[in-house]
Amino acid sequence: MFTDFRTIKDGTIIQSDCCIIGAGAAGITIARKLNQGNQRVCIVESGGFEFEQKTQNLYDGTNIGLPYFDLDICRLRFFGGTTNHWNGQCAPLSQLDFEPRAWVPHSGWPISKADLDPYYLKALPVCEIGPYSFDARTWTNWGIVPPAFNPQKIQSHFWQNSPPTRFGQVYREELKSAENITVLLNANVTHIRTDDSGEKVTHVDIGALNGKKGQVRAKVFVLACGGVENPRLLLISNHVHPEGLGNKYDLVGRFFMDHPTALCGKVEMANVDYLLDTYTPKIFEGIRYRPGLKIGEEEQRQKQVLNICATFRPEDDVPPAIEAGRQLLGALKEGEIPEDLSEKIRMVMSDLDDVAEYAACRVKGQEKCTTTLYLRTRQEQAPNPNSRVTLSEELDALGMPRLHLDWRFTELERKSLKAMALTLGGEFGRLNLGRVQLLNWLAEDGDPEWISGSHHHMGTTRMADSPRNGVVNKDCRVHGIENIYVAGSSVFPTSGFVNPTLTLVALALRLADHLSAAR
Amino acid sequence: MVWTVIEMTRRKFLLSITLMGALSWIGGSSGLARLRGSQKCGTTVAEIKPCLLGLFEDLDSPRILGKRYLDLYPHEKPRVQLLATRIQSSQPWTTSTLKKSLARERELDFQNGEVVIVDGWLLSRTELGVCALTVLL
Repeated sequence: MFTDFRTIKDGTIIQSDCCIIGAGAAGITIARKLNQGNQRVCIVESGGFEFEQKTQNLYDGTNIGLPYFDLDICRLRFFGGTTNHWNGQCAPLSQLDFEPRAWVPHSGWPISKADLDPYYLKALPVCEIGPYSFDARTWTNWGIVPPAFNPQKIQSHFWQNSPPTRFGQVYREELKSAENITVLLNANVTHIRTDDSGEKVTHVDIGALNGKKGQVRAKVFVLACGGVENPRLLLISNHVHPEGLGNKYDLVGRFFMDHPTALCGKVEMANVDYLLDTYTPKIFEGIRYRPGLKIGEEEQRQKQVLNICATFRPEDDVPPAIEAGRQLLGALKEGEIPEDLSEKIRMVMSDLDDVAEYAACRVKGQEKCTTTLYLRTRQEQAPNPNSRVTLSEELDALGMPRLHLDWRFTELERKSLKAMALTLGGEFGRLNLGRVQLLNWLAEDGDPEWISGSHHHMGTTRMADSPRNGVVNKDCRVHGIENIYVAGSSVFPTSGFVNPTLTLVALALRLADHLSAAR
Repeated sequence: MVWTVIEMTRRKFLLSITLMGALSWIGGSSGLARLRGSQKCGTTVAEIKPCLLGLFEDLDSPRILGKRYLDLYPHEKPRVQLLATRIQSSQPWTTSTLKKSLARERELDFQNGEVVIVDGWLLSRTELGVCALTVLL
């Protein structure tokens, strides 16, 4: 059942067995699973069924660290959450991603991949993908023989593309018809209240942008608002614990991670068509697969670097001489003479054979007319307590403190990126597939360029056995509080390089099992 | 960019770095593929030089790259000279066996991390050494 909170009586108190805060991939997944039991579930969702700017503005915050996306565009704040615009790339974390690694400070999950594997299997149909095929064995299905990279150094990796599943659309009817589920729309949790001991959550305060207020009381609460809103709500809820809920050891909001992406270099290919054909996305039995390359686990251990992958980007590859020629022709067609006419002519003349070959290729109607591929990497970020979100002085429309995000890198990220470029260079050279050129800043150990995030917010309520090391325990329950759990990528202690959705859905299914069993 | 400073177009560079045997598995697109037959090289410097130079379709590129290598890494010059000695002291070459041998050395270089970064490019010491020999011989 769906209810617009703005339309019900002010001061309404809603009773439930389980209150889920946030109707994104994690929240919806848990609600669907709990619906198979007999629990009354109330989902509190900030938005409605469609995007509304006033609601989206509640996400606004300030970046005070490395350049990052505006916080109000990273996630979507309406029913279905960010799955309303995700691109659907799915893959599981690797076994090593879960393990403590001496060279990665604060690494290691309190659960293993084997603990999560059964839930990865169950998460596949939730995300409308499958079967579980993400490694080199996938080539066999396709009858393709990939380059014989040394698997200790470079391995094949596959993403599967969800359609992408818009959770708010695909599962809307199911939730609407579920007798035990109430979805409160346009309802924002403004405070999580505990009893006087601070060890048990009694209810959450909710408010709408039209001023309406109310409460949801429940036996169990699940925070499922994403990697920056989860810590925000815990930090704001400070009426008993001045430092915020679950924050006895000042860990809430710390260890913010994204997946830094970069162009680490380019490869001049002897056989560009073979590589593009091999690594271009393919449809197999109705599922779109995207092949890529990842650093081998042995190489990670030996070079003491983070997990990292690479894909090819041919589309931006236009040699300077050709680009100059294009600009020159474009200007002349418009009847204009470029200011730097002589420079453009000089550039065209400097590499006439490239220009001639490119022109001939285009005349023939071929699409792949370049000899260069760029190597685009996406990597794990080292958990760093100084990379964090904190509350700011500024208040949003509901009177809640906004956030500061201080996104930071460590030297390990740069080291890992360079290691990947060198490993790829070595393997491309060994197999004579081409030669790799590192981007200048990387080759010269200069300041990072061309690095950005991936809109993946992780780590801010990390999972650990001890409250001294993390915010939630291995069941995703907030340390020190008996009945509030956190779902979503904010519980990831480390991130691997894969997109987080499949893992957070698997964790949500695991949490739902735990909640059902604990009842 | 250093690249333009040394006036080396990418095309020329491609030819130089794909010198050896390099492209034995590709054929068609390189100077090597156009080598005719398998001529004997002999064992003296005078005899081997034309063989080495014959690996290239265009000598400008390997010379530019070889010079750049020696300028950036002057301490590697003895290693280049050692390569020349090694080639001379081996069995008499033909262009074909020389090409295969150098290609194998290049592969081992990459496998064993015997690589050098020249203007950002990750290249094997052997392929750079051969380029350098076009300057030194």
